[in-house]
Amino acid sequence: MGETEAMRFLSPEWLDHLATVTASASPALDLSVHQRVTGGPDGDVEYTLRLAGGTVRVEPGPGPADVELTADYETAAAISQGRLSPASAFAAGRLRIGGSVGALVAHHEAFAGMARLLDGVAGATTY
Amino acid sequence: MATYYDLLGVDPAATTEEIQRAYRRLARRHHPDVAPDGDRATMAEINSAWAVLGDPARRRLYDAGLREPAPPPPPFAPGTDDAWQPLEDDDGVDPESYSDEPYVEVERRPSDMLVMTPVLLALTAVGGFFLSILSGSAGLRTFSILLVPVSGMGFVMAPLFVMLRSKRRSRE
Repeated sequence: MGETEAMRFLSPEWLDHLATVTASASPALDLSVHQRVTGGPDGDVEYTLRLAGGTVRVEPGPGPADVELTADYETAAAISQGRLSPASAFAAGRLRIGGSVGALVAHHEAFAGMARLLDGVAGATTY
Repeated sequence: MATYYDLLGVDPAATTEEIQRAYRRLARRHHPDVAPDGDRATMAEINSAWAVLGDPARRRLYDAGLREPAPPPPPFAPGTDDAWQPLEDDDGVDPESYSDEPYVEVERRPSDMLVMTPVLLALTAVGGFFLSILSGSAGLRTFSILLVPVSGMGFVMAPLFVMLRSKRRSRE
């Protein structure tokens, strides 16, 4: 599958593409972030981003993580497209955050770098 | 949109201690296990506000979000699948301990004065009576004797008044 081919947000193909893109990242932190998106076209979707030892892995499905993010499909899509910031979604009660929020805030620079990496993913995604 | 700061009635620059005091004051007023007319929906909102503002990291993220343009309203409305339940880690405070809050002390002072009034009247009556004997003042003696039933009425009325006021406050 080419990188310019459109994939549906949160579909298995999209998660595969996310894994491919993030594999090139080399974050200098160890942290796992589990995301649960509710009410999508295919129901609820869960996956975990595991940043460890300078690598990133994407694991579909539920699993233990340092940080838990929960949002409805519309909110997750808006964040993915850059129409809504995670902080703004959190303040509005549209994004719920559990676990070690301190780690998330402390490493916001590293996550900003990840977000830039994901811009390319959003460009090849249909919502 | 009302913020968590609005909900707890605190300034956005308030310290964590000030926010905790506000949370406890509201929890004492709305907690179903403490207040007779406790409201679960309101308590859920108060808990949500405290869960964010009571945690420095969550508060930083929340404040950052407030500074950005307001997004559409939240889908997580209290009373749906987000109904009130005790926080997993709660706030480490037993609801009974809410009575230790300073505002309770402030409210207690008028009641204490009310209870003390008949005692003071009785002491005045006894003191006045002995003074009237020493001074031979018939007027003072009459005044002291009249003060005895007045202080007696005070002993009966003061507790009733305090009880009625307490019931009225609990209804509010």
